[in-house]
Amino acid sequence: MSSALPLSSFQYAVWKGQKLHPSTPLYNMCFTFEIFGQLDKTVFTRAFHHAAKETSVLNLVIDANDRSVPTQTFGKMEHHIDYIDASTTPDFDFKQWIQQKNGITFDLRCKSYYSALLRFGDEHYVWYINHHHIFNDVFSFQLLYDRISNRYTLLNNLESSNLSQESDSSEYEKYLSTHKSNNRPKQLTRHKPIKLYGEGFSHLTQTASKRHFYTLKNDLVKSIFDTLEKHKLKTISPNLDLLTYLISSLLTTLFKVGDVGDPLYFSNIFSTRISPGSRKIGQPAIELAHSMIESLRQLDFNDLYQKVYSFLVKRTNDADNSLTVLPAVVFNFFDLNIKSFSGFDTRCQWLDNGHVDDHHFLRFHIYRYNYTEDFVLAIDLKKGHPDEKVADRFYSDFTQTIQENLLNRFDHSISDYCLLTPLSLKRINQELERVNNASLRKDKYLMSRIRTQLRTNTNKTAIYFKDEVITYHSLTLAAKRVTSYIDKIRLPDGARVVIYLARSEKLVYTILGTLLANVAYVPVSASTPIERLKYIINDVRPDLLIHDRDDLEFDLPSILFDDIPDVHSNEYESVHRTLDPFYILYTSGSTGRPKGVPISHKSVSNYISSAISVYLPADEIYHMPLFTSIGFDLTVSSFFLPLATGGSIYIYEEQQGIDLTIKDIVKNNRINCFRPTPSHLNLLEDESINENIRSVVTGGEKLTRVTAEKLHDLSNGNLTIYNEYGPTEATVGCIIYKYNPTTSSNSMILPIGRAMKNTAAFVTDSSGTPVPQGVVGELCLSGLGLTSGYLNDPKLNQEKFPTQNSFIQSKYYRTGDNVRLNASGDFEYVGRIDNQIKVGGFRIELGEIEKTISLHPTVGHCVAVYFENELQRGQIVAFIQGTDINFNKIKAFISKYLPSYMVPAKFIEIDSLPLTTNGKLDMNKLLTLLEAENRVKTEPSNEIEEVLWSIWKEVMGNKVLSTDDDFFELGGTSLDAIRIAARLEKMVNYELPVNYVFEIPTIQGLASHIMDDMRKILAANNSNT
Amino acid sequence: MKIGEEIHIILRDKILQEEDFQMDVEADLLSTGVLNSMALIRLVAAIESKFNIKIPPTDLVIDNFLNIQAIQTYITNRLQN
Repeated sequence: MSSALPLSSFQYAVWKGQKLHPSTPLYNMCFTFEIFGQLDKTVFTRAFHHAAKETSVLNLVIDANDRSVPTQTFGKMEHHIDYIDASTTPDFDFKQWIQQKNGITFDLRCKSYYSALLRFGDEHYVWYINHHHIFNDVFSFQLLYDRISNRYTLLNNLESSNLSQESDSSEYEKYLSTHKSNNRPKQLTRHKPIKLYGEGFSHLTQTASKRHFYTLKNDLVKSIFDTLEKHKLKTISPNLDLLTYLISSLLTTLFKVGDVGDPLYFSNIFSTRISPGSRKIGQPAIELAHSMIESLRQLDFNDLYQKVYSFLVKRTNDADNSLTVLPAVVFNFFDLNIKSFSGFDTRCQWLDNGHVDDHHFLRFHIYRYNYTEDFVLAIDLKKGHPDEKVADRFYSDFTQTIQENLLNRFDHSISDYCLLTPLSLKRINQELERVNNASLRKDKYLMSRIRTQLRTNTNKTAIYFKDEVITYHSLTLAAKRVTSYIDKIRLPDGARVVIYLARSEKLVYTILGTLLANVAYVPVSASTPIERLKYIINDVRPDLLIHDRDDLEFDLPSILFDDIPDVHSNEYESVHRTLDPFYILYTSGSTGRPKGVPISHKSVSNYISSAISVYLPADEIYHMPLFTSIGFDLTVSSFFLPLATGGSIYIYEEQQGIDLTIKDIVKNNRINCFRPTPSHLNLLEDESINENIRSVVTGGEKLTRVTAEKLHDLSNGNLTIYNEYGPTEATVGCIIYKYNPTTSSNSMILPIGRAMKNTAAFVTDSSGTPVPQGVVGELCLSGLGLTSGYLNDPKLNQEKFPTQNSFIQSKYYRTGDNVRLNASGDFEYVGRIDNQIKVGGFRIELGEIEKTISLHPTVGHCVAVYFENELQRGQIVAFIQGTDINFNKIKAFISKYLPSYMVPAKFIEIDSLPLTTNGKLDMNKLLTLLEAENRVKTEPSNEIEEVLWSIWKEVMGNKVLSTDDDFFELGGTSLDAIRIAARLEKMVNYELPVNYVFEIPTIQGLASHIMDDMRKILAANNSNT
Repeated sequence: MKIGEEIHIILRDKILQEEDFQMDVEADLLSTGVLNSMALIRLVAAIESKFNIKIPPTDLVIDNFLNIQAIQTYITNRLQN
């Protein structure tokens, strides 16, 4: 009777979980049964004692000390039930009482339950029971209840109390024999933390949770069965059908609104009895299916349904041993049938104990207490999710999924399923239509603004450059010189002029002069390597190149700026030209070549028109520094905002090495607004910002809270800080965020804000389906700022500028940026979808770097990786595989094609590309290689070390870098160890036991061991002779 | 061994775990309560692994699982095709 029994695998898991949180009532299962009738207290107590003695699970205790494997035995139990007359207890607070009783912790060595009978009135009682989950499942409560009810009826009707006492312990032992865990202790990995609606849970290791209650109406359940019947999927097991349908819908919803990982592991607890014998006993739960669902996105709902069905069927057999990953999501289903208590009406309730296992984030319970009732849908949510309404949202999206799939979505792909309501979709489309059809008044066009300023401001300063002060009048004359030259050589309508000039007054003259001739300009910064310039010229096919490099020759019409003749425009008959595009800007392209983005006059005018009244109050004049590359579209603002308002441009020349111009700019009292990247701002230390500067608009990179706070302090709060977002393809900036030091959210990275004028922004998943608010997805843009598409790349245009899909009816641009719309309506930048990175505001496609390096004849394969440290400062590292690699030669080679910001900071030679088992690039391996590279290296220092060094390199390849490298960390295998020992014997005739390579895993250690050993041998030999 | 006997053994040893289990091949497994829904899923899983076939939801209907006889016919058909 008291022999030690093993634990089932479920019990073992619960036991371990409780050990981790010894004072938390994690596994208390608490029920109330409200009984409406004149209950006899004494008879009830006797019935309880009878039932308790017969029910194994109330008599078991755990026998465990810290070392041994825990077991369970039948204890010598003194059963007890409290009686509380709540109706006569003054100020009895039932809710508080429940909370206190739910929270007690059990010493499982003595007792596993607490029970009480409470009287609230003559015909109103509550039976309360709190029993540790290690010994029960939900059905055990129904069984215990039935037993008490039966005994109560019998005791009430019999004069004597000679009821037979029969324990179900032998049934229990039989149950255990088939469910004992045979494989413990097993290493279980944790599922990665999940996110819902783009937000994670902050209390990862805590157990506090809250239960939210909803209803799953019987009508809906009936429709589910009808739909299954229609699709010939209805089986003879209604529970299996319902479970499959609900789990499929739950998974669909999770994949739509959550970042849950793929595959997602979830646990399905399905507590019911299989054999007729087991239907009579209490027993612990069986955790049935630790299912793993992969790549839902490619499935249609029907496929998913069948897949879930197969999972349920298959995992039912190996349920108890299939657990390898602790699931983050739990699906629990039970269907009870609580009858009246000895003829009295009874209402049953399962209570929330306020805790979940610390690896559970979301628990989904679908249950009812009676076959006639609607199902309850309860959601346990781990605490720490920032959105208080997240359970409500999830429930509503879940029921929408259920209904949507009922309405003939059965054969539709899950990726095409949109959780947005038709009304929200309609709003998005209306907004898209509005912004794309918006008109711009003639006087809002940028050239019309500039012409007005040139005409009216003749004596005002337009440009400060070095010691020169240039007025609008001089600017006009100088620009006209360029215009006249363009007229003179009769450039046709639609002509393009590449401008390759250093930052100086000449740059402003040339750009303005070109525009005044209604000709598009293609800005290429002076630091661009010549081969890259050649590529751009080849791609854009310009009609003219204006430059300042007398050391270069070009085989196209080109002219040095200084050689442009001074002629009067009216000497030539002017050619009619339409200014379209306004400029063409080249950005990094993943295919290995920069791509040209043409921006129309309307787009740039729309941008200037909206920026003009945002950065500074309306009607203010802009005075801005020109200090960033003209190949970078953020510079467009610094250039045209002053010219459009009659303000001034303060030109800073290009710097060699680290550009510290920013330190001068913040002291400049002539400017009132500037456009740096966050990287520029990070160069500031304690320079106070001139009080004339009232506005700063950052862009091109993530703006951190730390940077914004520092800037706010340096300016004594004088400065308004804007964070502007916008890809070149959507003209400079189209989403903007105003930093507010007191109310801005407390995330580390500041939001990018809201769409600017005539821009529509929305978020989609990878298949182009709009996602609900909060969910992370690709930012898509549409509106007046959109480019017509990349030059000469119809294939890429088709991919990046879809004209419409099932949900969106306008042309839009897929930015490749992952964002989410937060609760306050601001977009938050999350990261890149692809390999594009930003360094100092420059867009860099790592693919372009890789392709360029691969062009070098010695290179076989190459990967460029961007590593970012905690300070958000990163470096590009190139991993190269090839023959006779010489990094200096490669560096010199790629510098001909790539601007300096694209040249990797570090080169590392590798034997082959490290891949994960999925065939993806193994980033951890690469990081290890980088760390090894950064570590202090120790070269061999004696002869034996040299020998070992060469052997190690021969066996394990080029990753051997230092004599203190660890054999295991280098990925050494037993085969490698055997080879090392064999070579050593061959080379120096020294016999090294193979296990020494494991035991002394470094070259240094091994060498000194060998040295000691040889000395001993020598000494022994000497003494022998 | 005949398929019917195999099913009988599966029911006895794996599903119901009752040593003295005896069942007529034509006796109704479902309405007599011998198989509840959970037991039925286990039976499907056991048949799938024993006979190396997949039983899709469309096949999990009364005609195929009414009694041991019906299950035997179903498996025989599946194995032949």
